[in-house]
Amino acid sequence: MCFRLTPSRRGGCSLLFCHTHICRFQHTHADRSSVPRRASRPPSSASNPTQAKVGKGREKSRVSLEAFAPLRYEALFLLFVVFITSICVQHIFSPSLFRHYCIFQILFPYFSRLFSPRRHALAKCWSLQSASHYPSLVHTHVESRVVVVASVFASEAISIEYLALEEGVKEICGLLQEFRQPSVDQTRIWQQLQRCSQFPDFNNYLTFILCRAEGHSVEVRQAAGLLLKNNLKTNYQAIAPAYQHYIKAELLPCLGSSDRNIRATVGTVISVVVQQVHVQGWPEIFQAIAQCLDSNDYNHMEGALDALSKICEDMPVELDSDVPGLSDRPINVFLPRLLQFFSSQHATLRKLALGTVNQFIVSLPTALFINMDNYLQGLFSLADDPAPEVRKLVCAALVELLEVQPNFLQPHMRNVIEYMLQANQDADEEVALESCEFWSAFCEARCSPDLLREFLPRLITILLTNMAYADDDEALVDADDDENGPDRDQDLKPRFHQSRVHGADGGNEEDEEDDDIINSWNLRKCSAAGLDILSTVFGDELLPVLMPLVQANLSQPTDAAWKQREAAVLALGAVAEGCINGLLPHLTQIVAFLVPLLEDKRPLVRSITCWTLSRYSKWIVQAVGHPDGHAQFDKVLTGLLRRILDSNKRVQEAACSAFATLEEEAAEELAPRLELILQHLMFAFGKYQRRNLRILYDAIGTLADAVGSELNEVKYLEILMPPLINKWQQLPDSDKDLFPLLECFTSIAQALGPGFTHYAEPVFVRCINLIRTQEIAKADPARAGVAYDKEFIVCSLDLLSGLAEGLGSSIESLVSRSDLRDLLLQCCADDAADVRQSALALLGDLAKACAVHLQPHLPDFLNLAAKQLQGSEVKDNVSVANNACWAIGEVAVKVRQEISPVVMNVITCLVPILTSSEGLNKSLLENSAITLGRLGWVCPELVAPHMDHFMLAWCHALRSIRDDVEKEDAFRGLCAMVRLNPGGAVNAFVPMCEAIGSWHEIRSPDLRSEIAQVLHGYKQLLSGVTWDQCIAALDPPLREKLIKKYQI
Amino acid sequence: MIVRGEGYQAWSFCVSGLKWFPLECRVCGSRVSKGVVPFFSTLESVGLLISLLVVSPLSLLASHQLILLCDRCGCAIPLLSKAHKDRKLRQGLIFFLVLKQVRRSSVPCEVEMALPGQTTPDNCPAFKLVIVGDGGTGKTTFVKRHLTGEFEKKYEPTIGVEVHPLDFFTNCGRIRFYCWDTAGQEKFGGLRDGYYIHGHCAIIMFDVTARLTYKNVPTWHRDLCRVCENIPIVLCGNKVDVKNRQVKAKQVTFHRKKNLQYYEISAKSNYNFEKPFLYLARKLAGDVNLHFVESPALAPPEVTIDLAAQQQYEAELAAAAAQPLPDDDEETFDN
Repeated sequence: MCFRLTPSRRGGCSLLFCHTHICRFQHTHADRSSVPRRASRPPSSASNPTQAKVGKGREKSRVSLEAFAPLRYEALFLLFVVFITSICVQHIFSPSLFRHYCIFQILFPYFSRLFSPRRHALAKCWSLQSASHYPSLVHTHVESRVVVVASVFASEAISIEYLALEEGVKEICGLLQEFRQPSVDQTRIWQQLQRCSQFPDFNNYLTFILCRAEGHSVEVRQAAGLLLKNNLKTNYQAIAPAYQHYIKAELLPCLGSSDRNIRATVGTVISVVVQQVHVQGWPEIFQAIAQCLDSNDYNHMEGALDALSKICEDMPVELDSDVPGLSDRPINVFLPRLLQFFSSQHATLRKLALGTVNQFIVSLPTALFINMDNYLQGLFSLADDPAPEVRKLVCAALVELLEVQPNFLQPHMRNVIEYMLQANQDADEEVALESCEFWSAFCEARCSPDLLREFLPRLITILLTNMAYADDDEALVDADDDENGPDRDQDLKPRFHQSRVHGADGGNEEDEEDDDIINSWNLRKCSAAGLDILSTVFGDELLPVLMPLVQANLSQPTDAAWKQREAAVLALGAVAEGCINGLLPHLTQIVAFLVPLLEDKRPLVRSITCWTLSRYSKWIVQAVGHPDGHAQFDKVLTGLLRRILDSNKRVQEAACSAFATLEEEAAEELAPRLELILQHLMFAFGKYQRRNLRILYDAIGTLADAVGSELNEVKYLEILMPPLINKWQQLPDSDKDLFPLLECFTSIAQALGPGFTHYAEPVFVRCINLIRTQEIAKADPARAGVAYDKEFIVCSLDLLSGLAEGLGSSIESLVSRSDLRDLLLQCCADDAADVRQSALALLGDLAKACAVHLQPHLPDFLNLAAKQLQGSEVKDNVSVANNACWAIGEVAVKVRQEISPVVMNVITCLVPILTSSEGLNKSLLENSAITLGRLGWVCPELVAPHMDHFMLAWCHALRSIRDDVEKEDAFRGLCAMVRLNPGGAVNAFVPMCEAIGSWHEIRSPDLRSEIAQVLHGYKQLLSGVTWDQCIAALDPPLREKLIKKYQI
Repeated sequence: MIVRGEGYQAWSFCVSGLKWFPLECRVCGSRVSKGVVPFFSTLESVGLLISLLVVSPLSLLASHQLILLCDRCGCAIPLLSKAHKDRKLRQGLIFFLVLKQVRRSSVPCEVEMALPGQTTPDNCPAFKLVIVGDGGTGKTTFVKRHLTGEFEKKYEPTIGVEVHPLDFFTNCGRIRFYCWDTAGQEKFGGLRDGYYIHGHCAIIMFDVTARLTYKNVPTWHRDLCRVCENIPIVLCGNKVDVKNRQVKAKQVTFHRKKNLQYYEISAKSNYNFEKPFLYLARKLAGDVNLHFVESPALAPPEVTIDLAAQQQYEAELAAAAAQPLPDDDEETFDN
């Protein structure tokens, strides 16, 4: 141990202090502990003059000096303690806190007479801390302390405490000041803070800075507080109990700090501490909050309310718990006080109190239940509050009450509705928006519609008014979107190709919502949603009120009234589904109103009209049979087609989407108009920018799906195909804009069927090339010249499937001249599930069209497909399993006996799928049942012996399959197996009969007779009584059906 | 007109063309003698006031007059008052003030209060934009799209915070966002909410392919609002370029309750890159008609490939295409 006595003032000190940065902090750390401890007395004893003065900015150093004048004694004492400590550590080394404490208890009396109690406490804590926290470091610490003490001893001016505090605070504040500068090296700051946070009393520093460092800027103190909060959140339990106590005690007096930001930060920290220790761990906080609430001082009341609201927000049920030592649950104490604050003169306090009570609506503690009347009265009294934030909270409270506890509102419903009507027209848009949620909530809460009925006229008027675009709606700014502006990458929403799924009804296509709807929630959208849901509850009742308003709005021809016109059209669209019965008789008038609006001067009116017409498209199509129905349909059709050629991008988009909807509804009704439609679509094709082009591809694809083979006429194809092929040739292989085009071609190929042969070869070759290129890119992008993107493979595979399906066996010549088989094998083994999914779909389609070309690799294909059905693969990738299963079935019926090597393998996979209780995907179950049947049909001798295992589940699955060829195959399998192993189905006789009964009509006569034979066979097999029992167990209608159809 | 304060750099505003109105606090009614209105009683509060002026001019206007200290005589001068009845006019004036903040005086002007130490080009208002959200949601990638780098597939968690100045050009001139790209991962969080202090606006980011990141949005929002009250916030669902998303657009409802703007974005494809910035700029300026006049240089959406290699390969492909299709079924393309 070496003493370096340097007689210097502060400069000398700091010289000694800092060999390295870390070293300085350790010193600081070691000596500073005294300060927070000194300050750790409860707030009530804050009368200590030293304490009161600490931190008064520049005065601080002077105050500190006075306070620590008899410095030399202290230094001497400390020196002694250091000695003792080091002896303790060397001779009775133990990390146990208790042990060291005992030693001090023994040593202490000798000094107590000499020194003031304050220093006594100080020294005790100090050495305790060093010994308990740093048993292994004590040496270095002792040494450094001696240095400090020595230097201080020699210097007259500076107290250790002040130095320690000053150094530590300065360093941390420096960091907290510095980090806010954008140009600073944040990593260095992070590392320094990281280092600081290693010290067990780092949080004491932060607490001190937050609560007492008044000379520092608010931002620094706020940052210290937030850092403290984060430390406490992650590490509270690791903090020494004495420090925990210090931190808690320091926070309390700052609840009412005069600076708002400090108060708010203190509140945030308090809430985190309460999260850690709960009410029982810190009952004082609630006393302090209660005192502050009663203090009548604005700062104190605001700080306390803020802390309380944060506690309630973070832990809604915490206050509603019994705490040992407290006579009452905290909430019982606070709730009445909070309700009193509803009538505070300060808007902020009203807002905080109301916001806090609102937190309890969901959990509904007893205290609120008892005070519900007061609460409601309070809400009503705040209904006309001058502060919009308060009114907004009132509306939010009422909406939430309606959602969660409608019974309480029931008696006041008339008043509440009355108020909500008023709030809906509030000048503050946020209040209006909040209150507008009420109507949806009302409908969803299943409140009696009678309550609302009498208000409908006013309500609908208000909703309709609010549905008009607000002046600051972003849509208005974006409305003038000229068609000539090219779309940028950032305007294009990433789109996805849905890999083919065989057998799924409609797939899992989701209606992609308009960007506009999800971007921002505003009064217009909320009102429209409200009207929509009201229409589902009240139905046609709305119409007598709504229609005159709509008509009045629509008949305002002036340009200035365009927003009203637009809102009226939106309203018509919103109620289309809910009120259709009442609207149907007026459909002609509505359409007559709407069609001219397609030509409106305002683009937003034109686009909303497209949307509304699409909402009515189903009924417009249904009306085609009526007189004038056709003319009406024509008008809508041509109107929309004109809008597809609009010069405004938004209108183009709306028209294209609306037209696609109409196409789906109209299907073959479109056939007579195909030429006109195609002319318009292909004209648009020439002028659209990238974004709308995608929607247009969809419209073309939908058209092909809708009209099917009607499209297969030379005059149509002459319009349709050249621009598409042209585009197809322009787009490079790496351009993602190919995807929608490939999808479009898939639809067209399927629609045209053999008619597509003419175009098939280049399409086929391009697909093969795309796949090949991507397979190369996967291994080596540089060689391929493109980045690997599996979507190209998936889209190409799907288009090939479409070709195979459309062309049938005439695809054979193309396949035979290509290396598709090898590529396909590679794809079936791909890592990516969607590649495998599409590859297996193609495998099935190729098996149907030209199985012979798969032959050389057949075992490989079958093994790969079977692999998709094993274990967890099924659950993880249902669609892959689905396609694999179907493909195996298709191959089986083509290659017959050649499938036998994999049959058992596949059956062992299919049975668990069928018997699974997890409710697997319906399409997968159906395909499994069919494939199982097909395998049983081609290899009954292999499958039939195992019938016991699957008959029950299999027959269940068979019941839900629609009549078609695949189902026939499955039943052929059933018959074949039963013939071989009639005993295998006895236990499943009833489900088997149900499966047989699920046929509406069996087209194939031989299958019909086979089934009849099976049933008769069983009648003979089972002796009379058993047979009667079995038949009796069937549902009467089913029994009738079977007896009638199969004469049993 | 300069506001001076100990420890603060001077501020200068161009106030030409404004009429002055009497000095009286509308709330407390006290008259101004020397210094600022009692409500803004300390010099620090002047800083706050000026930050507020930048952040949300309307909230200020709703309650108080704006007062600045004259550096010559030391007397307080109101910038604006309720007497400007016309809301639009007031908004316009405020924004004018912010945009036209110039160095008329010889005193160097730095935006010290809100953004200490930053250097901002002339005539360019700067805003502190805080970007928060769970780790791995793509905050850093998003910010870096504006710069030069390419889409980073490699994930390196942000440590503490990284600050990037991003400039946008509007019809009202250039504006700068200092984007505070904060660490999402807790262990690298650093000061966490400390970074939010004096944020003017914020983006909360989640990943539509990871449900948990959306579930945590309320926590980020709460922490943000506890430090920065009433700032414009945009919620961004990132990675919409990924096929199997877990959070569907319809499931995103948080922004409705909290009155936030929501955008689906893709840092990979640049989809909707500008939208959050445009929304925030409009809110901060109080001008819905504000628009960007030129697109920022964004990193290309796709990873670029060595051009020479590409050309060579295309030539090979063309040559291959010219060959007749193989007749032999056994032959694979590798041969």
